[in-house]
Amino acid sequence: MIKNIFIEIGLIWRFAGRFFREVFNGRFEFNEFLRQCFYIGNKSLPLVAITAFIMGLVITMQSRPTLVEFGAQAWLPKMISVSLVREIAPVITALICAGKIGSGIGAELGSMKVTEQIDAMDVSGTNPYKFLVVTRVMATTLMIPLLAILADAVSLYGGYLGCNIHGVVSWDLFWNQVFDTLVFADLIPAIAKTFFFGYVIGIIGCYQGFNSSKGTEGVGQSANSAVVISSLLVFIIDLLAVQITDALHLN
Amino acid sequence: MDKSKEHILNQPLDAVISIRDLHKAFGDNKVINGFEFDLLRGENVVVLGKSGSGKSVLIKLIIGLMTPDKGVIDVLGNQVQKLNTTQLDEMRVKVGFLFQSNALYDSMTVRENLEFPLRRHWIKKNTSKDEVNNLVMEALTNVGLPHTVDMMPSELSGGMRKRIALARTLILKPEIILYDEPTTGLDPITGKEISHLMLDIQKKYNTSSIIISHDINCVKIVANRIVMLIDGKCYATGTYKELENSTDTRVKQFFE
Amino acid sequence: MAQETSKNIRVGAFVLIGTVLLIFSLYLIGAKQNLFGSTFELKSQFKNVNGLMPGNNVRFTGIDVGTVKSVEIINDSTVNVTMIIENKVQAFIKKNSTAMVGTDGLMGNKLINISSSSETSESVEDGDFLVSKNPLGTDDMMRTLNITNENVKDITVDLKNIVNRLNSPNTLWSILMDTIVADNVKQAIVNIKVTGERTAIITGDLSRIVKHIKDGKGTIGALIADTTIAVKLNQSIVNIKLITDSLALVTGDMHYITSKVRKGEGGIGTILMDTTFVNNLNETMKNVRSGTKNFDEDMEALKHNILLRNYFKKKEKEAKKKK
Repeated sequence: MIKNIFIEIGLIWRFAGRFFREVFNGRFEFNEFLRQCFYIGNKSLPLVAITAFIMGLVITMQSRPTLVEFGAQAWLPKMISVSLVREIAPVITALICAGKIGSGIGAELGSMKVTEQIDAMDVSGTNPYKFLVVTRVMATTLMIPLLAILADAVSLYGGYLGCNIHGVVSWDLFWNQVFDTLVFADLIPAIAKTFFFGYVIGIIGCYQGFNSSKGTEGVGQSANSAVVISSLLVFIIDLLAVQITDALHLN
Repeated sequence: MDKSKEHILNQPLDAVISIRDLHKAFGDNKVINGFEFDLLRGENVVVLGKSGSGKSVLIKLIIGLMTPDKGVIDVLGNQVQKLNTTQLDEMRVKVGFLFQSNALYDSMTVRENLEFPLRRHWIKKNTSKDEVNNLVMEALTNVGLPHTVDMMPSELSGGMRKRIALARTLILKPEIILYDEPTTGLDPITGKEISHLMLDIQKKYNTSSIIISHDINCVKIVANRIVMLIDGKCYATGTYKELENSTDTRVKQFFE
Repeated sequence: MAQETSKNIRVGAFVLIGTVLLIFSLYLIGAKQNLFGSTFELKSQFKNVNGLMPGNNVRFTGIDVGTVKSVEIINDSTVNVTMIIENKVQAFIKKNSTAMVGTDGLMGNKLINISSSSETSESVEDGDFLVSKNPLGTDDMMRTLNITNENVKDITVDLKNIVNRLNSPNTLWSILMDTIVADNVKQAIVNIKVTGERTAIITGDLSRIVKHIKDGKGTIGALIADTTIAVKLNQSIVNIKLITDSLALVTGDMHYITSKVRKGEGGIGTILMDTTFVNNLNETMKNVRSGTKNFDEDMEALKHNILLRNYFKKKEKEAKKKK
């Protein structure tokens, strides 16, 4: 059992490492990459935006009573801007994408594996890793940070509305306070970690799909484990990220 | 001299595929165990065997999707397991593979499916768009489905998919075609149509084929020669008639 | 193909919007940190910067005009702070301005306040050193406040104890409020006065009697023979002595109490606490009272003594004559 876990981790590691060998090697499947960017970026935007908006609104409304207790409701924009930009928007985006994109990739590649489409690509003179994995992992690695930035914006807008439900904070004052509070040390590590989130979501989804066992049950399992493992890894990366930013004195 | 072009012992002069002492095991299950075989130019050989007897494994070893534990596979003068990626791709242009589950790309239209191997293999040759289009239409006409060119695979019936898959295999005009259970999952009439299509292709393009099957109706139509794959070995070989009249019980059970 | 193109356009729009947002927010944050505008540097040295960090704001006349670039320790009592200031305020900051580490609000971030001096001076230049004022940090205030708090705590503890004692029985209040004690004291004093007068009369009388005896008048023989009277007389004198001793004690104590009370010393507590003392006081008063009463009776008895009867009668007659 434990041996299998180690083998699995080793295989995932090698699969992930192969990405870096293949990405700079030979021609890049640009059209497929664009297609994946469309599915991963544009198609996920509504879901990510709705979630981020709600989180922004809810976090603001939930934080308000505590701050009111201290008579510090004027700090609401400052407080939520840090928590949203630093943690909530990137992690929510990553989790939504782990659920939507990770399972999508896992199921798509899983069914391609099961119906021999991946073998067919190999036979057709196309490296399936390059065509399927590199494009998808590139797309997730580049699109999830963009989604996170948009989620930042949307969740802060949600926060702005949240501030105005019980109090009055003008549009200008809100954004002034937000950008007064935020520093590069807030935004840059938060965006940097989303690249890793994206990479992990792509790699795990592809790995699970590529190693799908025969049959429709195997495809379901691939999609499921893609979501479970990538969500878990998102949190582990988040933990590492906070420790690294801490070590760099950016907190 | 290229290592992959070393000569194989006892190879017939007109052999396109020669297999010697081939072994492949999954765990303790020795699927291929000392298999030996020659495919001659222009012949249709059916590999008969029970489900799980390693027939699919055999042709996947030939096309290089799997690597053998031991043994030599020579395809058109190249030893498959010694080829690098580029050489393997070059070899695969000449060897078509029809998958059991068709393996049509669900996310692409029929046209894109057919263009896919073309783009990959011929992209260096500056093929114009018109040329590609002509090739696609020709391949589709060969299988009798030119009207499906802009449809998605999911809109097609099982028989149509099989034909599209065959068209995709044919589009590169391969010298050898490997059929993995071409009639499985089809109704007997469609199966018969596909079998005749395979014969037409053999005549039209002078291809050599290995056909994996246990559908005896299909075997009867397409086979020039039959190889019995039993216990991972080439158990018996001969024409349909020879084997049908065989006294060996293990051979006989396939023809009942 | 058209479908593919529209997809690509949408991907392009998505990427563009995301990138523009990122650049825009980075620029806004950068603008707040004065990374992109034209700036100049000012320096200042502090003994203690109270947790000032690079990136903290610099304020001039209450407006954010820059940020702290670096905070370096020069030696054990000097910290060098470099500030980046916007060029547009250079003309307004004078060379004799002072820099002070402050706090944004009560619990906000540290910042540097540059305040201008009333005297005129030239404008600062790039790299100038500003004089620093030692910051009155919240820490210092807290430290002072802490000592004050300790004192207040001690005082309240004392106050609490005092109030507790005042509330409990056997206190000064009960002494002051206890009418019996007060009456006793009053009566005792009255008695003492009466006794004193009488003693004076008696001693006067005694001297006259002795003179009579000396003169060999009348009944001296009988007087000498009458041992009982002699004994009684002796007793009376002892009594008087006892009473006066007690009185001295009481007055001494009273003096002690009043002086302590008047001084308002902490010693009041011990007096107040000392219930035995109060009891003693009470008892003493009773003793004084009963003592003076006894003396009174003794005197009365002496008056009616046969020996002295004549003397008293004579005295009465003289008094009548005077009338």
